[in-house]
Amino acid sequence: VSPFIHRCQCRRGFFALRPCDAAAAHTCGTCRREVCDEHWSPAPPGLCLDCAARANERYAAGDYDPYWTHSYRHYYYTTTGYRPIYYGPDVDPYYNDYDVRAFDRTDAAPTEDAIDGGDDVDAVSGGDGGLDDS
Amino acid sequence: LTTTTTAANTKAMYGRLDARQRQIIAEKRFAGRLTARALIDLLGPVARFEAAAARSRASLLKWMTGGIIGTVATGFLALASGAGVVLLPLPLAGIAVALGAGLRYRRLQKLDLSNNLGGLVMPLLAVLREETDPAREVEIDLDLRAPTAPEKLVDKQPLRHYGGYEVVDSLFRDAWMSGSAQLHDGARLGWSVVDEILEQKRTKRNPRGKVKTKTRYKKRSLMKVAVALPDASFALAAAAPTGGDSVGAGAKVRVQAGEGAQTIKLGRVVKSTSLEPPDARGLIDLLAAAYRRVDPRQGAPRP
Repeated sequence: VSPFIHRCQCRRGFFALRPCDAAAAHTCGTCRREVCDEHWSPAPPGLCLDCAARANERYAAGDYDPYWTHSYRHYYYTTTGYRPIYYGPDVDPYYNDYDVRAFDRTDAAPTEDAIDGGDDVDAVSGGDGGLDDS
Repeated sequence: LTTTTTAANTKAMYGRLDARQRQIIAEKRFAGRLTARALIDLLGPVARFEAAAARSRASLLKWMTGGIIGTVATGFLALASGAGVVLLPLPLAGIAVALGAGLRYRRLQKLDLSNNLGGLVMPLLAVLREETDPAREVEIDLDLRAPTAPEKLVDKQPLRHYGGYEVVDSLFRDAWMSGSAQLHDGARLGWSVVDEILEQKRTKRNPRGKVKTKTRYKKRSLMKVAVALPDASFALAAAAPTGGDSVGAGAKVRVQAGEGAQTIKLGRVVKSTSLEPPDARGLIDLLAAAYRRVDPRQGAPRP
């Protein structure tokens, strides 16, 4: 890979964030990160989708394009307190506001069962997901 | 003029749909495996057409009502004024407006899809586009017929009398969405949404002999999600999340250890008094609740 090709510094994902790593063609006017075409905001121009999402208080209704997803993601994190899981070599300080969960926990954990009795939740259909009990 | 423009736009939108999209509208069903991006490209224009068609239908209904009222009013005026021949074009124009709007309304009504497509399916697919690898397919099965379509009727109670009303209760079961996907972090996801709708029709004859019927709905949307999270990447959190879980007190949660994965199953019921789709947030909260119950494992291989 050529060292002259810059990589997009935005993160893909919703519940778990991962590096985009596509070739970057733009620089965000606010955060100064390198950004690929997909993460470049059509409106307002000159910003990455993350900064455009942070500039608006509410997510935009409409076409469910990447702009919608990023604004909804920002809205969701900031209103529900959800802490996304974070994959990447280092935690980008840009995402510190979301209190991301990087590889910072040991595997001490209960092994099985039940936060609640929940006999209603067994039968979830869905193709070859194979998630039913049977 | 607005109605004509809206209806023309809706017609133009329909004209831009490809054969597969028109087939989905005609059959009101879709089942298949495509990438999340391809599903959005396929179903997005259908959802936009449905939203535009709903606006057109509402507008046409107003014009139809206006045309009927105009016909009666101008017809009465023509008769009362004695200038029937001169004023005759007015009630005729009213009839033409009402008929034209009625015919267009009927045509659009045949193309009506459940609002669940735009209200819940599209936001879910947008989230899955972020969560899945671009080449990985998502399986989805959608039933976009009206929630109270005759095929979905499961029980109809005999007529009963209550408070001067004749009451008929009908129960509908609408298993309108299920699907599965493999997420980029190796987790396997399955989900389903089933609506149970109680339709109550109350009919009463008023003192003037006019029969009036009111229809009320009670809907329970049963949302279920199962996420199998690979042990190699995730460990159950030492403590169940407290506060801010967003899935509500009535949600059911169950965790099962399987071969190489912990499966977290969650279910919740969302109640409403209309046929409008439940907020997509309900389903997204369930998925988030599964991820709240795990932590990334130390030293795990990155997906």
